[in-house]
Amino acid sequence: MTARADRSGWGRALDVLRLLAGAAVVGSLLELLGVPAGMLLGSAIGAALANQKWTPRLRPTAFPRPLRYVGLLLVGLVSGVLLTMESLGSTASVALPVIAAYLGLAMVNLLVIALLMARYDVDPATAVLAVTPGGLAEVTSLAIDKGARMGVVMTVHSVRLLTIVFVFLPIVLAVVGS
Amino acid sequence: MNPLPLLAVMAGALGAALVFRWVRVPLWPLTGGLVGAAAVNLGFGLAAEVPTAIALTGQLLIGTAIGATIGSEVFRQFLRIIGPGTLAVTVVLGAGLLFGWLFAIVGLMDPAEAMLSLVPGGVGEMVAAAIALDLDSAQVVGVQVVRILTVLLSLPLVFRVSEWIHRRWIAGPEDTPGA
Repeated sequence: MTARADRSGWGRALDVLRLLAGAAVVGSLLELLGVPAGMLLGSAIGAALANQKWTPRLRPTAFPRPLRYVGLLLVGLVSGVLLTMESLGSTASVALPVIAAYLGLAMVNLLVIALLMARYDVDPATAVLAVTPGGLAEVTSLAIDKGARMGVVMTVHSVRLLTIVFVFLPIVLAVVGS
Repeated sequence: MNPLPLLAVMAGALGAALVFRWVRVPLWPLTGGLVGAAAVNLGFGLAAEVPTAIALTGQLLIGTAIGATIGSEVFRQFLRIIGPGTLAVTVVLGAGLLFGWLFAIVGLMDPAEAMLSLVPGGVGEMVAAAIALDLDSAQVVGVQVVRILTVLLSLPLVFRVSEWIHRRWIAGPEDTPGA
């Protein structure tokens, strides 16, 4: 029993390492190529590819929740350190209008959510998280917690991110920079 | 580089995350980490610098968790969902642009800063653009963080309303428990 448990433990550890290796390879590649959020998108793609049943011996595995929590903590840490007294001060005067604006958008989004549920047979959790204008890391992590359809959520948010970086930002940079 | 400021903000991030977990704040590792790190960094005037490797490690772990949930059916779903996905993106980005324009019109913010602060894009990309344009990147960061926190903390209500809409208007009788 102990030997079987040990092999199961080692086997599981190797499966997790396989996920991380796939994630690191593709994530690093996209990051080096300068793709927006390259490490995040690339590691998701790499882990997904590494987790497919390419051979009969390869089994899909779940990623340990504590490791995901560590990732979220690190991302929160990085964001928190970006805040300065200066940014807090200049934000304070517009915080309430920003909160009101995004609460208003949440109400408008209910129409898109209803459309996704009614027309495309998407479950509520998936529909909500697909249209939620939050950070990619935050929204996709919530999607895992809620059991939402990751393909739908990631597709919509990837389209949003790529549209912003390849359409919106170049326009802003061209208009303001000139 | 002196590691003490970094260790201090990490301890603050971890402590706040555990408190947020106890009071059941959504995404407690992230929101707690953010608030705790900011509180320690600002409260003690540390001006801590987080190595790029730490940021990339966080993204790697989150990305791996996401990828591990994706099965082969996801790639088939991609083309099917691209249409409504584009609609959802258009609504969200259009709203962000509208907010930016309104904030500029009423004089709350400079137009370019308003656009970069209020369009729901990646915080890093928006801040980098602000720096490239010599705009107030600190304000862009602050407003983007307010956006993310507002969206995350209002999500429980949005979930509840959406589930009600689904039960009331969309789910058929066969989908209703006990029917």
